[in-house]
Order: sequence, then C-alpha cells, then structure tokens
Amino acid sequence: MHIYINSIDYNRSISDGPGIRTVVYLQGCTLHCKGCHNKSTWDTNCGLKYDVTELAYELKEKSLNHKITISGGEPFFQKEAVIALIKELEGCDLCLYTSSNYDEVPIEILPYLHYLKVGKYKQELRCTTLPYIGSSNQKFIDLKMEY
Amino acid sequence: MGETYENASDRKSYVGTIFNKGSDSTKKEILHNLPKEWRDLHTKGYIYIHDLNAYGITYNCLNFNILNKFPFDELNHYNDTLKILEIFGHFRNIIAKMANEQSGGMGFANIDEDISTIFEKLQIKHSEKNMELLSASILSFIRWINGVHERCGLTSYYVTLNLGLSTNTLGQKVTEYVLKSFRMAGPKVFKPNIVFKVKDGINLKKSDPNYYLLELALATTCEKMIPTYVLCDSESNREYDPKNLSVMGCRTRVVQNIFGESTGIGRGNIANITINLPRIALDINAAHPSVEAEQKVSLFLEMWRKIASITVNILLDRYNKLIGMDKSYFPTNMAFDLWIGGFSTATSLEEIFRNGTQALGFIGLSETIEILIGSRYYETNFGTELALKIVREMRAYTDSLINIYNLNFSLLATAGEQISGSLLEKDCKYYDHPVMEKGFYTNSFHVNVDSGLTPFEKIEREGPFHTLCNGGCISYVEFSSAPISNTDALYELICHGINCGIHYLGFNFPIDVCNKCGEKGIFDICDSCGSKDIIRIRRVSGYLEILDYFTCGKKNEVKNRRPNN
Repeated sequence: MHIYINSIDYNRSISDGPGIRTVVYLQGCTLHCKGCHNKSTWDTNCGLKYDVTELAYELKEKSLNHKITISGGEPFFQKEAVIALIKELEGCDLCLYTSSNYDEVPIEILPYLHYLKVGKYKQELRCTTLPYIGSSNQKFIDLKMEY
Repeated sequence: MGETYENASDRKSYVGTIFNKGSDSTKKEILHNLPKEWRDLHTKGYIYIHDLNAYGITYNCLNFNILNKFPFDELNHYNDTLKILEIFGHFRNIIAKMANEQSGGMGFANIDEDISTIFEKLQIKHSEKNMELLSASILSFIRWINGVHERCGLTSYYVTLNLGLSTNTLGQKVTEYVLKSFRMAGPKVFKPNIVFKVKDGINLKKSDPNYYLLELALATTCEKMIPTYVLCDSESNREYDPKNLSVMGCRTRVVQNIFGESTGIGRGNIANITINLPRIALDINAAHPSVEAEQKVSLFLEMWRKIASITVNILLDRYNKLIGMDKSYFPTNMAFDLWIGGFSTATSLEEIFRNGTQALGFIGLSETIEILIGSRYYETNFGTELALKIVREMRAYTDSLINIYNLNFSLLATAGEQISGSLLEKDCKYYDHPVMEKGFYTNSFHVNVDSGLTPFEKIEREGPFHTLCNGGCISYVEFSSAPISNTDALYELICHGINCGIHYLGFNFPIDVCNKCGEKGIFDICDSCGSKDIIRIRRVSGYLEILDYFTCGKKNEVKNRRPNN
C-alpha cells in the first residue's frame, strides 16, 4: 500500500505531543482552515510516494526514542493508508493529529495510539498557552490515561 | 534602544556613573602598570583579563560556606517568626556586603539542606504558620534578588541557588518553595539563577524520594528557562559527592583542591583570563596559508601555549598581589568565614586564597576550526577530532600548571558575554574573514547557534567537551518557543545529557511579555490586549535579561540563534 507524505521532521519537535518527537506530515487536506500553519500540505495531487511498510521501517530506524506523531495535512485524507501505517508502527509511542472529532476516529486504531489530538483549527480561538493544541476548541487526549 | 551596555544586567544611576568612572580609570592604571608584553596581549585582543578593575585587589567568585559562622547564638533567643525573618535578613546582608568584597558571582551550594540545618539548630518548629512564613520569605528573597540593581549602583547581585538533593522534610519543602515561588512570581522575575542538581537515587527515577521535585523543576523550566541542571551522574561529576558540586554565577565549577577535600563549598575562582582562540587561528592562517589542516592545528597549539604561558604569569602576579592584601579588605569574609580555611584565624591570606582556582578560559572554538580547516568542527569527524585535540591539549596544560606552581588551575569554557562582540571587533582591525560577518564569536566550545542540529545531536556534539572543561561550562538546547508543559522532552534530554557526559544543561527559548497585561508568548503585538509595549526576555550567557540591555555581540548572537527543534 502507498502513502503520500509532505515531509518528516526527525527528533526535534516539542509541540506535537509529550517528549521530543519525530513528526511525519502527510500530504493532502481539503479543509483549508484559515490560518493553517502548514499550507504546503494542502495539495492533494503531490507529495512523496512511500510504501507504508518502508515508511514505518524508516521512521522506526531514524527516530531515536520511537516517539512519533502523525500529522498533516489531514491524515484521514488517506484513511486506509494511515490506518495501515499506524498498525505498522505498533510498539512506538504514537500520536495522531487530526481535525476529526473523537467519535469520528476509527475505533480500531485507538489501541495503537498513546495520544490523540482532535478538532478543527479555528483561528478565532487561536491559543498559544495550552500544550499541544492550536486553538482552544481542540482536544489533546492521553489515551493511555483513559483506558 | 540604540544604547550599548557592558553587561546586560547594567542600569544607570548616579552612583553607577561614578563607579564606572572609577572603574575605567582603575583599569587604565592597572593596564599601564603591567609589563608591556602582558598589556599588549590584552589591548590587542589576544586575551581578555576579566574583572581588570579588581586585579590584585580581590578575587572573583565564591560558593558561600554559609553555615560556618552563621549567627546561631544571636538568633537563638528570638521567637520562630523573627528567627525565620532574620535567616533571610542574614542572607541578604551577606549578598550585599560580599558584592563589595569580591568582583563576581555568589553561590549557595545546597540552599535546601542549609536552611533545613539552620531550622534544626535554631529549633524552629515545622508548624503550618512557620511553613507559610518560610514560603513567603523565600518569595520575598527571590523578588529582592531580581529587583535590586544596587551592586556598584548599577547592576544586580549575581546569585545562584543550587538545590534538589536534600531528602529531609524541610529541605524538600525549601526546594519546593523556591521553585513554586519563582514560578508564581511571574515572567518579569527572572533572577536568581537556580540550579537543580540531578542525581540518580535521589531525584532522577520515579521511585526516587525527590523525583516529584525534579518534575516540579522541569515544569518551572518549561515556563521560565530556569532552573538549569547540574547532572551529577555524568562522567566529569560522578566521582564527587553531589553535595560538593555547585555552580557559581552562570557556570563556574570549582571542585578539585590540592589543599583539601574536593568541594566547591567555601571556594571560588581567584581570577580568570580568556584566550581569544579565533585570533590565534587568524594569525596562523595568515602566516601559513598553504599548510595542511593538521599542521595548522599544531602551529595553532604552539602559539596558544606561548600565549597561555604569559597568561599564567598574569594570573600568578594577580594571585600574589591578592595574597599580599590586608585582611581588613575582607570584613564580611572575616566575620562569617565564608571561605574554607578559616578567614578569621588565618595568619595570611595565602592560607585562604590558595584554596581558590585560577581559570584559563577560551572563546570561539567553532570559528577557530572553521578558520583553520574551512568547515565547522561539528560537521565532520575530522573537525570534531581536531576540536577535541585542541581542548584536550588546553586541559593537559592547565593540569600541568597545578604541579608546577602548587596552585589550583582549571580550564573554563568562558561565559564571555561582553567579549563575544568586543574581541571580534578587535580582530576586525587586523583581519577580514567570513566567520566574523555575523558580529560575534561563538561561546566556548558551543556549536554555532544556527547549527540546525537536533537537541539530541547538539548534546552529543558538546558532551565530550564537558568532561574536559573542569572549570565550568554549560550546554544549551535552544527551542523555538516555550516547551509548554512538555516536561517529558526536558527529561529525555537530561537523560541523554547524562549519557553524553554533559555536566551542566540549560534550555533556552524566547519569552515575550506584554508590559501592559502580563500575557506571555512570542509576539510583537500582545495576543491578548493588542499592546506594543513588549519586554523580550532572553538568556544572555548564563543569566536571563531583557533584550534591550544586551551587549552588541550578544544582540547579534540572538539574531543568529536558530532553534534545535
């Protein structure tokens, strides 16, 4: 199976979930939120084509602490592929950034995730003082705490 | 603000103006009286004699031996309230007086344990009311250190509180109160420097008794860049009792002592002189443009040794003049025996000050390698090896001085606030090289501030130098914004730091504060109230200050800083 990514930022993010995280930005988003911080991911017709298994292998190889955040774009724009990627990354400390609401996230992936950021970015609710979210309507959930 | 300051903590006042005038003419006089060879090295920019106005008159810095002659008897008959108030009154008193007796930083090596011992000896009850007063006194003490610019009429007291190791109930409370007070005091309170000592078995692991205090420290750092962290289990520190490790001012480390126990308590640096490494590299490059890189490094080291040997003579002259002073110039030291060796009973100042250390410092290792081999040291294994070779040689040299002169010597990764710009300016008179375009020299052995390395990589590259710089050093991880609540990230880097040999670790990020409503963030216009009255708090070289007051070199450095995330 293939997946299209925008870029990978290895071992340096401190704002996409707890710890120092590797962030993989998936390509493609149709929401076009006002004030989006990553417009280069919008285009649904470009991106780097990866085999899901190979991408998972590379992420595991290069992320020093196996703390990986899948972001975008909107990951669920490539729903099937992102579900496959999440499953391939089993054992990693995984975090998913999506604009979907919690009840829209496929239940089958929840056991693989440690953290989940849900909710659409709303510029009028922009907030810089709460951890790991961009606007105050969004939620950052520690799934291991809830289970 | 277009004005330039000698140090970022300086402010203006009548007394300060008079002090500066006196200081300037004293510096001129001292320089004038030095042998020409020594004077030339300083004026031409090969070396920088720090605190020149104190040459032979006083020493640099000290970790107070605060318990030695604490006035227990005087306070003993007071009630608990008065005892607590007077403990901090005594601390303030000592800080203010010692600022008149020495030229540099002041450290409390274990403020948690020390206050707990004082409470015990004065038999102060651990009642709720007393704990409330202790907490308030600590906040008030912090606010005082942050707010006064009384030293010499123009600057703040440079105080470092080391803590985190005390596992008794009161010691733990002190650490908790210091951290919570500092955090609560708001963004405009960014002094004193607080150093949390990380030690396995005490506070590093979840099962350790003070782990909750490390968590509190990390949460505080996430908001305020302070505390910074001494890693007691790293290669250079693990052989010492962690209680004897301590940071003075912004990075000075004093441990080994040929005259007694290895400890930083009651000891300090007598003086330090920084050698301008890029200048030597520029000279070598100009004189031998076509030789191989390795040979250039050998020539560089040869010239460094020549300059270092003269520098040592300056340090020795300064030391000899100091021990020839009259004890009466040190009344507070006499009254409270803050140095080990018993100031009050010593028959000569030599008995005291031989416990101090003479430090040889350096600046601009990265530029040096770039001048010599054409690329930055951390970009290639070859460059890294050469950089390490240089620092190893420098350390071997300072070690050899100990036996030759029977005095304590150390290698210091100089903080170099003012010289980051001023030495480069001097070099610009003689040379023109691309490394000079950015307007400052990189601190000590640090990788360039725009390296783009990840936090892990930065720690890996700088770690080996920590083991060599026994006179003190620090590595910073630079974040693009505050790591809000991300204590996990800081914890990971601390663990990585311990494994990579980091002795002392700090975290930097920009903090902008709205002067109108107090909102924090990174902005030109306040996110909350729209005001343009913004205070920018940044790390200078060890301590935090308001950006407007930065020296030229440091302003240029801030412009170049590129985050590691």
